[in-house]
Amino acid sequence: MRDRTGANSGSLRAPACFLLIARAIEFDTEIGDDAAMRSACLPRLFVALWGACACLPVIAAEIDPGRDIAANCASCHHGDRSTGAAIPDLAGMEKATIIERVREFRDGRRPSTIMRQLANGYSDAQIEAAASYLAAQKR
Amino acid sequence: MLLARTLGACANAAPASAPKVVVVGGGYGGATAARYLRLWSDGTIAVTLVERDAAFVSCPLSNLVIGGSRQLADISIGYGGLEKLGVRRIRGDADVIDASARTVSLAQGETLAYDRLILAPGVDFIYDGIPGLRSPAAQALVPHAWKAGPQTVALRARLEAMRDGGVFAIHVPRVPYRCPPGPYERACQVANYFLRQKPKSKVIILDANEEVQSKKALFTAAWSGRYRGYVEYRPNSELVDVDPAASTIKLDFDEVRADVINVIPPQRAGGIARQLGIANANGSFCQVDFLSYESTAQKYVHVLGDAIQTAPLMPKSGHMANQHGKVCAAAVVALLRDQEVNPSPLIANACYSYIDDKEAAHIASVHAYDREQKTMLVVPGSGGLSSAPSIEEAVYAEAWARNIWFDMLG
Repeated sequence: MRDRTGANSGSLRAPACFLLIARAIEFDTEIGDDAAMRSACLPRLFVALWGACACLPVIAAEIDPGRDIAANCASCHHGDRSTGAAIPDLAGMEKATIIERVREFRDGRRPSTIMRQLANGYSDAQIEAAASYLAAQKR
Repeated sequence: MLLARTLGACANAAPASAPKVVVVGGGYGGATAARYLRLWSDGTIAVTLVERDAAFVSCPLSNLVIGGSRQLADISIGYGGLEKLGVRRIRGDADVIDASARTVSLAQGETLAYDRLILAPGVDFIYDGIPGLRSPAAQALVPHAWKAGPQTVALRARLEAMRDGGVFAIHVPRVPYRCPPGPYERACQVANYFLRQKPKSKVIILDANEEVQSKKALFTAAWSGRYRGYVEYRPNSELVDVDPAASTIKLDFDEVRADVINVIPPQRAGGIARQLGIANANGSFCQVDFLSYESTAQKYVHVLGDAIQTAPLMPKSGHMANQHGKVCAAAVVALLRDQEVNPSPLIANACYSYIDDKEAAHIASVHAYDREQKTMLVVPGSGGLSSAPSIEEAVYAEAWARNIWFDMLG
């Protein structure tokens, strides 16, 4: 939602509302085998409808899978630009550049102090997910 | 930052019917959780932060204040950034939690209702085993300086007042304690001050543990190298008592009198968590579900930071608390929306120690949730130590501090 809600205080446009309702229904269909979950469908749909009608941007069921991984990077990498660029801000950086840099650190092709040790903790898929998310952020 | 910018107009827009989260404690864990709850809910969760102090004072870097190269103001930040994001901040103390009614009563009188409660109370000190320090008056004579603030300044003042040729003795409690490398970094900072300003003086580290608990190779190299003759390290120094009037630390088989004594007492989860009965690891720390940081003892209550019972190799650090805060915030947003919690959270630790006023070194690790063991395990191959302290890493350490303070406080 971070990158999609530039004018966050505004309401969702109608097509977006319908799409979200459709998604909620689809989600329930998938889990419909379980009786208990089935009984939860109606309230879920209601919540979706209510949310859409109230035009709160809360019902985006899909959270970018890279968001939580990128949050690890944020502890050191986002922030206070007034202090200089010793640690680069990754927001809005090209996705391919982020992936390549992290891989270079991981493989030892790019010298580093801490980044090789941290990069070694993430799989290619995790790095890509975080990079996608970060690249979509506004600078 | 990104959200702070975009959230703008709706920062205070959580309606009266919005889900309510109360966060107790505005340190690395609590402040981060408060901020990310607002960001990741797009301002739709009403977040109240209860914090005793007027401003955040960072424990990381506070040893530099003790060493004399920083002032307390350099490591203090207000809560205005969180307030701008719509967090309601109450300066006060959480007094009583009613977990069945889901309310928190403040010592100042107000009662706050919550859908989810996040406790980030840090640690309390245990003086039971130190008879000479049981009274607050005695404690005031021996600053721990293990919570940054007036205690930090008090310890610095004592070092400044100390004669050249004096001795500074620091006692390190048994693990687990907050910030494993902190006592050793402090010894380096004081040694650096002595080296420059009081060259006849000396640091004695009395460690209850059998060895240096973090960054061992880096610290021992500094003590036998640049601080040769200034630092003496004594492992297996179990503390028996302290005599504040005589400025003496009593050990099993020895007594150490020093001009300035600094006893870091043993620690346990902050009182509010123990009072609620959720310090279910040995009565000291709080066991949590690492997917959400929800207490294993009390539904709808989450615990962050130094107050939790960590998995092995997860240090009690500010950086870790910041990461707990984000995993918890993501989980709480999901739970309040009846969505699935991220089943495989990853967290990282980056921890810098200053060896003097210009050089630093780090330790790092990455931890992933293991679904079978239901705990956090270090990702194989990740993590490590600096090979040596450097000026370059001190630049990173400073940038780390600025950025993580922004990440938690906006």
